[in-house]
Amino acid sequence: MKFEKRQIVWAYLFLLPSLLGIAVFYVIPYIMCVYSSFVKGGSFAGLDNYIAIFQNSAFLNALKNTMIFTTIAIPSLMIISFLIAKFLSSFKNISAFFRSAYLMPIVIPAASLVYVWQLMFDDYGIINNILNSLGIDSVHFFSSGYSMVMIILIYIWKNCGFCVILFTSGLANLPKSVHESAYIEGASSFRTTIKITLPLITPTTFFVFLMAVINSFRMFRESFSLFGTYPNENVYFLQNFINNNYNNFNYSQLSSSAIVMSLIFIGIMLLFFTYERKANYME
Amino acid sequence: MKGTKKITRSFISVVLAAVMCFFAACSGEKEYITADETNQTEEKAKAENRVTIYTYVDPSSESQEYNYDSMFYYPLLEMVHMYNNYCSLNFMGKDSVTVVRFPSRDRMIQQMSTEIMAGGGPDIIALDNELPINKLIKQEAFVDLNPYIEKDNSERAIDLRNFNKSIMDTGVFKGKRYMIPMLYMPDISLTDTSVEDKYGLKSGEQITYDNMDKKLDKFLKDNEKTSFLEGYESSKNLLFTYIQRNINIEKQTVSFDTKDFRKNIEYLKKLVTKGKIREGEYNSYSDKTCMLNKGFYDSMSAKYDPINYCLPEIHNRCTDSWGMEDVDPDKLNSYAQYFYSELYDEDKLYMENYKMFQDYVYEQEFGKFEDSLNGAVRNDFVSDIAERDDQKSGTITCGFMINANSKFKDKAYEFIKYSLCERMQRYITYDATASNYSNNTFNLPVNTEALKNSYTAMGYSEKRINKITKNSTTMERYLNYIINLNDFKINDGYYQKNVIGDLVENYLNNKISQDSFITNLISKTKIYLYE
Repeated sequence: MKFEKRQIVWAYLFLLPSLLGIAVFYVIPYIMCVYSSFVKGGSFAGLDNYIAIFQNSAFLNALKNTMIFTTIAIPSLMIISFLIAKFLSSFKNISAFFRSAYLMPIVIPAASLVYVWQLMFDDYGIINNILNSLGIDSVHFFSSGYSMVMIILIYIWKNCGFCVILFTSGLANLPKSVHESAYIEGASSFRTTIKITLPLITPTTFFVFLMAVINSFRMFRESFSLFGTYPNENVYFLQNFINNNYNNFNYSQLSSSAIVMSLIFIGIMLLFFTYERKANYME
Repeated sequence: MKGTKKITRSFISVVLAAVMCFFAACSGEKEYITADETNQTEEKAKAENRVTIYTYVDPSSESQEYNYDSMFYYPLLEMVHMYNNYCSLNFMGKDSVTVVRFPSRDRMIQQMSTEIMAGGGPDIIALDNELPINKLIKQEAFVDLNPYIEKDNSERAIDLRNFNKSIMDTGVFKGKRYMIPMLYMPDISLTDTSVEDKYGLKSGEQITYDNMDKKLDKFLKDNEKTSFLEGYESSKNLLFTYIQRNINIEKQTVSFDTKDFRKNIEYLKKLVTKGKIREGEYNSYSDKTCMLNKGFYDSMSAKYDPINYCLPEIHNRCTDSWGMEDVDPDKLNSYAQYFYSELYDEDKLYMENYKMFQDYVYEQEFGKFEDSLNGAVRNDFVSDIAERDDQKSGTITCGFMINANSKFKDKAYEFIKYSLCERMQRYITYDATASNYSNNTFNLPVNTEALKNSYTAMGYSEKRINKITKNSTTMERYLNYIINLNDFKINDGYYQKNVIGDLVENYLNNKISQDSFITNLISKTKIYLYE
């Protein structure tokens, strides 16, 4: 018993530096952020800041765009990467070259990526030049609804390879016997995928989802480099709203919107956690 | 083997040491004002319950040279110094103001931002081009000064009737007075009558957005690489000003998608890009290749000099320290003969042109302006492109706000009140004996009494400048112009730089089409207004 207690003490001692780091850089700022979301002009404002942001059309637009991006980009990424992984898993060996090639987009610096996209999709860029030579009018990729499509494409292109590798390893670990039984029973390939493969790789899917959500936050870097601090209204995300309010010294609005954003994502994660616990078929 | 390892280890150690030394050397950049000094000043002011105000001076101004970047640094120090003297003479030492100095504008804004977030910050905030003033006003980050003005019954109380209403109203947003303007500049550019003749412009002619295509047609068609204004930034401001004029901040509306806007913005683009050599590179004033300019910019001394058109300069030219009696009579006769026979009609009354003649003799004798400007003295001025024929506009260059977090609002208000008084206003804009910093700006005092006393002291009576005839001197026309300014604005530098800066740059450099420019402009501006 004594030995166990000592072990626990040692364990906490080893954890202390990282716990301190988390407390100083995450927990305390989050609490401070919650506090300042209820304060305006130095005095307690109750829910006023929250009411104000939900009456602010810039915030509502940012929220709408973030939701659109999240609901389209994350599922698309997961579906596309799963399909590629499924296709690749039909091959016995994937060469090391391909494995590293999948990871290339994730290591390309945002600035280079943005430069290439600008070169291609600018008003006077390569794509518009081709369109014009075919007698088609120029498309304003950076100032129309296409800008959201562009951001989604960049997101999928950038993260697809990584997700494919995760799914491939998940698929490789599946017991072959289950699939063989299903095959003998006469289940189609589609049915096997839906009824057997997907439930069995729930932990992998959950991890991929987690990474996809985290990387969706990181997309602000590309969006910021491509469209600037004040992008067009189609690609104006919650991160833009928060960032701009920081520059405008509007901390009450900044804090309340950050809290709303975090609550939304915490909610999504909790939902997925609950689902993952219930649907762990491997056990 | 062991030896090789040892050598490799020593080599790596040496390289690491060299790298460390390199970084240490890089970080050891000497700063004019250190962070410690800034913090200590602030802590001391807090401990003594003193009112604070932040200001900065660019590190490049280590020599304490007055330049465009530090335009309000030294005047502010002078103002605070003068107010603190007044406080100590009146046994109000506790009311004195402390200036907290920063080595750069970025540092100042960064610290201000952090402190405001924590419910603090300076008590008085000076108008700054990089501060999102409109946003801060909207958030009520500043105190409404109307109640202070209304309840003040003291002898020095601010009587708004003694000020130009349109100047003072620039600080009013939805009925609340958040900012008190201190100084302003007329929106004019300097030129030569010879240049005006060349491009078919009449002296004092008003160019508006509606008539600019006709009035500047000759200039645009001119094949010479003559630019409209002297530098890229000044030229770009043409566009920014026009864009800002199409925004209604209170109503949060824009009028960019109109036929007029499209036409005018394209024309302004042509004006801005005329005289362009390469991307972002323009002919400079010293090459005598611009039609209008805001003043002479000397890259060596970094001085920005609106020649002859600033009050202290006019004062200098009228000063009693130099008189016509100092000039050799024979020389004076030859000057008079040339001046009245060659430059002006002989039959004009001697006294009417005496002041101009005096200026002429002064210039000839000392060659002060002509030498320094390589013979390119600009002897006329035109107003910047305006919306209406009768519009005479000015831009607020200095103003004060009181931080809503301040614990010493009353004390801060006392400083603002004192800064508005005739003595202080005249001192910082006109009094040449104050210091040489104020010699080279267009800055004018918001206190009308101070302005009036300034030009009266120069020998220009109100009667003389109120009635402009064709014989009036340029100075008389200029003084008449500045007392009749009727439209004032605050430049939203934050909007211009951070919101639409890149967009305008891309548009000017033909990287985006007009359609795309306008769509983005509407989108960006709306987000900025709604945020």
